[in-house]
Amino acid sequence: MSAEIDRRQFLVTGSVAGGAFVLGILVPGVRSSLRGRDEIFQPNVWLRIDAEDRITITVAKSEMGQGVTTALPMLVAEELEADWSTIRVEQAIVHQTRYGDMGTGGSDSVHSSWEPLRKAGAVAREMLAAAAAGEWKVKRDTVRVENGFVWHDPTHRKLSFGALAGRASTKPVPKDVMLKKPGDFRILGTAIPRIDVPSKVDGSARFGIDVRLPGMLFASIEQAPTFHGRLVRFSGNRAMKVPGVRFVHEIEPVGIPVAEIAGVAVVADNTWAALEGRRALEVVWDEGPDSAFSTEQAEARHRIRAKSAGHAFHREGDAEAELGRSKDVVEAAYELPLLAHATMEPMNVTAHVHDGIIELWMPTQWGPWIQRRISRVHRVPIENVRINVTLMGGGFGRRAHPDTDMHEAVELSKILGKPVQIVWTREDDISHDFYRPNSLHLLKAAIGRDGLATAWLHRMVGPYRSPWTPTPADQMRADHLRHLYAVPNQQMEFADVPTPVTLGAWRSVGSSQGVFANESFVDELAAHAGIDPVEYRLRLLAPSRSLTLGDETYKSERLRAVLQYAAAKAGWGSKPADGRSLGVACFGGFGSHVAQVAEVSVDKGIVRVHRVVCAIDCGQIVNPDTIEAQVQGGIIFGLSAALRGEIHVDRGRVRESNFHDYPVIRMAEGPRIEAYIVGSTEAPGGVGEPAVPPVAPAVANAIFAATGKRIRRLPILPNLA
Amino acid sequence: MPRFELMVNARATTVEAPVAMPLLWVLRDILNLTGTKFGCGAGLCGACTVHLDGNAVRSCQTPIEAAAGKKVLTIEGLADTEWRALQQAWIDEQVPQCGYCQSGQLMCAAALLRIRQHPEDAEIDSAMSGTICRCGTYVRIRKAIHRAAARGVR
Repeated sequence: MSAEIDRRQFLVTGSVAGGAFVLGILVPGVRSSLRGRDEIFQPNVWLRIDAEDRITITVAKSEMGQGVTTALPMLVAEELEADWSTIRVEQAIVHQTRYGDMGTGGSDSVHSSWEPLRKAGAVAREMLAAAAAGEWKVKRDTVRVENGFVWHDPTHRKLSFGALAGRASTKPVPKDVMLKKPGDFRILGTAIPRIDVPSKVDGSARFGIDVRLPGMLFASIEQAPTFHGRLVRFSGNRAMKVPGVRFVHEIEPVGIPVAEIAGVAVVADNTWAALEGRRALEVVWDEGPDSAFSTEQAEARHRIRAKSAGHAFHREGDAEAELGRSKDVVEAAYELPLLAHATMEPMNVTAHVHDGIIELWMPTQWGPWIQRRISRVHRVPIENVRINVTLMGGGFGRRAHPDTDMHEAVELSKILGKPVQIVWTREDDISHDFYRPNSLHLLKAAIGRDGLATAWLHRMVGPYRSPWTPTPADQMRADHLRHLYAVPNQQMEFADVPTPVTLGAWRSVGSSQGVFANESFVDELAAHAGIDPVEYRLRLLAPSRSLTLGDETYKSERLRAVLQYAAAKAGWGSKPADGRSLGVACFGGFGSHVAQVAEVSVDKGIVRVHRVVCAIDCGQIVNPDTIEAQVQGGIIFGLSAALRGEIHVDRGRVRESNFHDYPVIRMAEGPRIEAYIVGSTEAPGGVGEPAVPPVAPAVANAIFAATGKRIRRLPILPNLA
Repeated sequence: MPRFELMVNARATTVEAPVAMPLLWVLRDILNLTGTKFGCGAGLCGACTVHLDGNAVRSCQTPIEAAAGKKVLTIEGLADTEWRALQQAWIDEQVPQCGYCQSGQLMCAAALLRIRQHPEDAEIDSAMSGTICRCGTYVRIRKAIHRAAARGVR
């Protein structure tokens, strides 16, 4: 395939003298609406080939466990025809003028890099080939590039990339390049071991919380117990008597809603002393305007609001008229709780203000956003803000915002003249998250004579334009309610109910809500019609339909294929083992199509998930091992929420505090997981999030098959107890 | 400030710390052995697991006083022991995702294999269920333990 090259997306540096070749590549901005603003178009991936044949790829995406620091270099190496063993990967320092946008989220990194990074590899390959042809004074089409060398077969000559690097840097960027056919891939589609794995089994991997700098002090911050509470007064006298405590300081709000932590910081020689000092603080809080708020109250508001129409953001046909005409209407309401992220690495940030520079070390998904924010708040030029993105001990959307004590760390470092690391406790994390919103979903369908739905109304009720989210409002938008089912009359609505709760993106965002409601409801319709749930979905997916959300298009054929695949692998239609029942769910999201079948037993009200079978069509396979890992992980993450995840707010504060009252799935509860990747030649879709949303409805539907009881509220366990 | 002597990864080590200071913070903030992780501070998640005289303990719940005079093995010392092959099994199965909990997972797995050379799934589940992984690597952890056991690690 021939691909045109937009030369403005490349920047060549390097020199013949130094013997190096450096190619800067612009991967155009991510499509996710999490994306920051005011991007300057600059290269955000750098490829460096040095005279010693070392190939270094600087990745400007953050590694949070999703394997991006392996996947992106694979794209470059494939077209470059590099020897994979010579590839080194570096994490880019956030520098807007060097890397442009580096935000990581929306399962988008491979998707958005697919073309540009392969083109980049091909551009470099062509420049190396041109350099060799020039050196040998032969025509370009008589040389070939393979495994780190350029070869001239007629004369049995070869030159390594390193030997050609300096000369290649003087060649023009080609106007077009040939991209390889999938059949010729040597690296893409293979299970290349992850680059970061060895450091993660010997303790050498450095996460944000592991940053250690000379003279560094450690801090912990006592935050308001309620949403939007304010400090009235405090005494640090007792705290200062704790051995190792150096400093107690009031953190003033910086004046940016949700991006600030107003409270009292205790700074000490080590984290333990800071925590002990914090326990010794005497603090009086003004609990703020929302100190009576509770999730119970919110749910009551949702139920009232659900009775009247919301804002209809999508209409096909006339669902209201059809529902009014129909004699056979099915209706159900589903309720979903607030959820915390609970990344294993608690929130943290390290700041060092030195020589007019503000330097931060931070496990973050969105470095440039932080850089801009710091620049604005602390009034320093952006080039004097240096952000070192560290490994993240889990992201899941929690680390997509500039919210975590970064201003506070900067302020403390300024005052003390030393590096300061702020570490959150698990209690801080669980009770001061940016939560997955709670919502109520009212669904109504009119049923035709064949049992299939002729009208579908989905009214999502919940916080929409919360002022308390750093996530742009469109992330909370209800696009995720839409589906591929061929229902002629459809109406999707959103009804906003404001909340004082801080909200944010949670792995799979709105799909974690919309897909539960849709896939539970379609199961109810199948039962109503007396049709097998897989068969019912297949009939609704039979007409060829496509659905475009953002810049992704989903197709009923692709969803049918994964549904049939998962059903076959799960033994759908044959009798399951004794006491076991099957449930199914499917959807298209994050550029991928996915179906899951859960095998469940219910014994005296105790739900046990034994096995989850997942089929995913994520387009062209980049690294099958990473895809499998993300499917396994997404299922466990989704299952934790489905079975147990719930955050309650009472008296304006979060009731849960640690893993004893915000329990997550542990190994003994983990089901057997089978992940099947359904091959496709379409461009790669995302894999980090798509496996999350179908778990809850698949399990809930299996519980219905086992017991006849519908799960209309998550989490599941308390319902059956 | 009280002084404590202990063996950390086969090295004689002296630290000055309050008697109640958890071993976790001694390792991380005084000895700069940051491979042992802080996850919950309450003995609920297992991220801070180390070996104390060969037994798996939660270092966030172990005051330095209780570790005095004992042998501490952390993830940084694992490669110099019989457990090197366990780490290799982790690499072969490509277990880690974010990797944050994996030090604790490995230390727990090593403690299990010390008492059970060929553990069954149920034994693995019960030994490993104190250690949370939010990335959901449980399927692979189980496989890696079986792989290590099959190779006769230990």
